[in-house]
Amino acid sequence: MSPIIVGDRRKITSNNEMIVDDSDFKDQNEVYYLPTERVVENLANHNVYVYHDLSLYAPFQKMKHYIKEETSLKGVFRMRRLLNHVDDPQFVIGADLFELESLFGKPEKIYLKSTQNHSIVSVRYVDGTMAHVDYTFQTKDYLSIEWSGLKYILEFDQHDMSPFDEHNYFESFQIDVDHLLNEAYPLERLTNYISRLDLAELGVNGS
Amino acid sequence: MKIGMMSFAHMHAHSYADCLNEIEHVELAAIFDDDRERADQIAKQYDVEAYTTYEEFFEQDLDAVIICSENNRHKEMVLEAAKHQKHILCEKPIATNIEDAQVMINYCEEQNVILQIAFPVRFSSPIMELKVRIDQGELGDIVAFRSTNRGQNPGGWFVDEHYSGGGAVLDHTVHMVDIMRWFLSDEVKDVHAYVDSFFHDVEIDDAGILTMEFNNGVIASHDASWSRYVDYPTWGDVTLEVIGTKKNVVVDAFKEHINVYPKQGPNHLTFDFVGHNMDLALIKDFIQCVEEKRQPFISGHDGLKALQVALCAYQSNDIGQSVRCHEG
Repeated sequence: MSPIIVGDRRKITSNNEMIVDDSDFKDQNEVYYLPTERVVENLANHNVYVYHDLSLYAPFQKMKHYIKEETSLKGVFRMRRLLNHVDDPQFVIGADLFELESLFGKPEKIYLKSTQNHSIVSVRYVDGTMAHVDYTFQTKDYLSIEWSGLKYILEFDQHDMSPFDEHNYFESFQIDVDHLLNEAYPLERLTNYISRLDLAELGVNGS
Repeated sequence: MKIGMMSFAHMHAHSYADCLNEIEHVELAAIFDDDRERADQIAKQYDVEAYTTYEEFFEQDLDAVIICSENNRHKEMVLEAAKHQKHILCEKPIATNIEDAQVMINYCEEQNVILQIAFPVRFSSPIMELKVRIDQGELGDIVAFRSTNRGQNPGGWFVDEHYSGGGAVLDHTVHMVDIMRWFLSDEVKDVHAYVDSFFHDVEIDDAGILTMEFNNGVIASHDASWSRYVDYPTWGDVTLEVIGTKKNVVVDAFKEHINVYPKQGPNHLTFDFVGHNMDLALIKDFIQCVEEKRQPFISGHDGLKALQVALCAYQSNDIGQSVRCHEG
């Protein structure tokens, strides 16, 4: 049985997998692949895998490649996220931190400030990296990433790098469905990670 | 108007001296620098008399002075200038500690002389335009800021805490905090920061990230560092994103540039800035301020509040938690 992938059909390149805009998760026998921006609290009883846009985007993959070439993880990582249609910000922020942990190692300290639709997450990693991620939850998507390290300064800005001048780069940010299925992981792994971080206690709540 | 310059220890002194030479009816009239070798070199470069003692320098006919010494000598020079009734433009940061800054402010008030702090970013054309757009309500209410001020390691006395009072976090936080305070007419309530030395083999900090909250609830992130390499296309950056309830605007004070790809020599790209000279605008404003005997656009108090945030960042890093900076 092929899985049901919930997501933006314009972004996901697929042959014959079932991609749907939304799902009510009625069928208990189905396996659902859900983007982290659509994850909500009450999905624990469903067979849900989650996939995260950041880990699938080519610019972030390329950044990771260069950062892994650094002789030391002492450096400053900054990421700017504008996100449209996020059901519960803690799952997106949690998934970002989960992804960054795979790059920078264990966080030593996490500090968070939130106001209205904007959150700032500041992380100090055990291996030295300091990171700032700024989120605004509003009506469009945007991503920029910067790394200032010992070997490299890396910069990605969705607007500057767009092959089109309409600033709609996310429509050309294609996600390969096989990559998506390989990178997805059980929802429980994300919820357990977020519980450990205690993001709700830090001030990130459902929108 | 006759302007004296006190110390060329800070590299900005050269830009300010060039600006003075561009303004009609303004004369770079005398230089004080107690580094004899530097004084001689500067005197020759600008064709002006240089003095190595305060007595000789203040015997000259001067209306005002510009101070570009090491940070820890700002207080000493400001007090000397104020004692001699000279109006003052002092390089940032105002001082290396709050007590010195307050003494400087109080004494200048007593002596009835102007004390302006050199925050040229306030005179950046894009930054000024953004201020107008905010005041006109185009962005709605401000929700948050996101800023950067990153540059190269200036070396020399900058990396000696005795003279500088702090590294990149002090050097590159005060500008952007000043802009945020100006945009909001509010003070930073608390500061959380991570500070470290990453990029250079120096004991002083060269990297820091700050998370701040203002009394009115606006939050801000700031990246201050000396992380730019010599081969990076430009010296550094000054950027600010303002997140509003109606729209977000990102402003880059040095975005206006042409790309230069030299065919010979080091094969790398350089950005050649073509925007307005914010240092010139700063100096013109100071001159006008003295002529009109008005309150400075950027006061000693502004300098003190920006300094306070940077010092709170160091404190936050030391104790591992956020620091209360200003009681609302």
